[in-house]
Amino acid sequence: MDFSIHKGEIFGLVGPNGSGKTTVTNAITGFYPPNKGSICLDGKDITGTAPHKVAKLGVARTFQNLALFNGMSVLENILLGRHIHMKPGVLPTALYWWVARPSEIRNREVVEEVIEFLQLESIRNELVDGIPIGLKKRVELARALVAEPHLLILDEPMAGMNQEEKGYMARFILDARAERGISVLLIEHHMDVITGICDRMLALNYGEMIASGIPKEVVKDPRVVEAYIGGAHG
Amino acid sequence: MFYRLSGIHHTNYVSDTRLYKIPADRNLALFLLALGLAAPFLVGSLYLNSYMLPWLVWTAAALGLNLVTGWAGQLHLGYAAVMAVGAYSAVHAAKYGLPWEFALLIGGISAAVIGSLFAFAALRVKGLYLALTTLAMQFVMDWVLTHSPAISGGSHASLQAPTFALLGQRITSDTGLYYVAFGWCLLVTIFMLNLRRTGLGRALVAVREKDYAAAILGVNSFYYKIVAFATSSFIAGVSGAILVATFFFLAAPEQFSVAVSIQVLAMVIVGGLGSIIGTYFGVALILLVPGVVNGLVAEGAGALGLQLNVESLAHIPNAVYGALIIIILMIEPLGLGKLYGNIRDYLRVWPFDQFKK
Repeated sequence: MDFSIHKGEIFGLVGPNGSGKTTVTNAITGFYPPNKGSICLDGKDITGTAPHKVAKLGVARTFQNLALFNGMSVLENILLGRHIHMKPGVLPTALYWWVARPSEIRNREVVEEVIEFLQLESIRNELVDGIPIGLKKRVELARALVAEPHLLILDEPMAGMNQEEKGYMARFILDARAERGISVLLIEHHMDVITGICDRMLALNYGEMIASGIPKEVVKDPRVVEAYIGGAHG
Repeated sequence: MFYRLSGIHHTNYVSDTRLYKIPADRNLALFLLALGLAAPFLVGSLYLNSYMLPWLVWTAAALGLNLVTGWAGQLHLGYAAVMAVGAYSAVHAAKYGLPWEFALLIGGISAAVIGSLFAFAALRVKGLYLALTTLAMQFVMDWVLTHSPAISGGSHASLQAPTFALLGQRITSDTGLYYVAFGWCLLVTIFMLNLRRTGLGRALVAVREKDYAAAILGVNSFYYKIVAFATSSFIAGVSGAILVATFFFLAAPEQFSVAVSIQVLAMVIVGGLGSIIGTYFGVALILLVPGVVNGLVAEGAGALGLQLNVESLAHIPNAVYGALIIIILMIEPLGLGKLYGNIRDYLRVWPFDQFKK
């Protein structure tokens, strides 16, 4: 497959289960180095770079089945998103008042902006374990946003959400793009969301590109319909 | 009620990141600090030196193990070996004529270097496999200690520690030695408290909980595991050196045997993984309770006029002590620290426990 995401674009990636959507994101973020081909970010080849280095280059992602740290509070989870902008170490911790505190406070301010943006103020100090899944997804989005990424990969951010929560999430994604100018790679099964907010999209089936382009046209493509809901003439 | 939460608002981030956000907690901590400072004037020198001092030094050591096991989630069964490295290097450095300040530092650094070797095992294996690997390293260290006379002063021999001194002042009095232990324990405790609110602490917890999620946030788990092992080994090394300098006065291989490694791990687990106050409780239970139970059984038998033979007198306290550990872990598997937390949470809202979260 061969595709590119332009700057400031929301790019949809759809396909039936097992078609390779998550594998693509895992290849981009460095979890699965590809056997063949290459992946470029901002014109730089990042094929096979370790995940923690990919994060430093400005790629943030959320996971399909949540990867929050359950033992930590919402605030601490989001603060972890600032990790690449901080220089945590043993000495700053030992000399907290003189070294670590200014940086902790500075990063806290950035985190609070995102908390306000995603309306998470009331659950800031709750343990992640105890909040509903819709909010967990939002916390994960917050954690990805505070890293100030160039490319944000959202792996089914709306799975298991009701219509209202989906609406909120879609607005958050649009606002994030408008305010921060980030590019978004969005994996979703909800076609209404894809057609509603994506600029361009790509449909996959068995690891092959079957259609790409403007969402409204792609979803009408007979091959996409075939792959998704099966042959209409069956 | 005791905590009086009403009216406590934090209006800036500095105040929201205080160590103790509730005045009652802060006052309690200050009270305990004052007690610790006043201890030499409150308890007799026998209790001070045979209970308080080892309690504080072992707490500092156990906090170091808690860093690597409780925070970073790496099981470590060779902790006593790392303490031995620190103790022997410091004693040798002091014998060589270096001032104790440098000797302690050398002890800490050499322990950190050797302890980081354990980390390379941790990068390959996890969980029980890591426990076994670290246990194997403990045996290697034991063997090296007992079989190299140059280090240990020969098999079954011990190494006399030179008189402890800081800033050129020889410290020999009970009170002075106690304050050395107290000071070190305080430093380690403050470090651990700070760990709770810095990026380092969060990164370690991230590595413990989900390493793939940590990676995507830019946390290099390879690096942070080594940092965890090196830091905890440094604490272990200095604690081992201080233990020899202020308590044992000589270094011998059996002070840092496998049994001791397991004992420190027991302190951390009974106290509660990732709990600082729990570590204090856990060390007290493992280190001090056997002696207390011993005394109680002997006194009880005397009061009841029972004629217990020597064997029963030796075994009953052990059985009671073992049962106590089992009962505590059955009541609260997360350890004494969590037990304290439960009581605190209850008192925070008492008598309005319908507000309990």
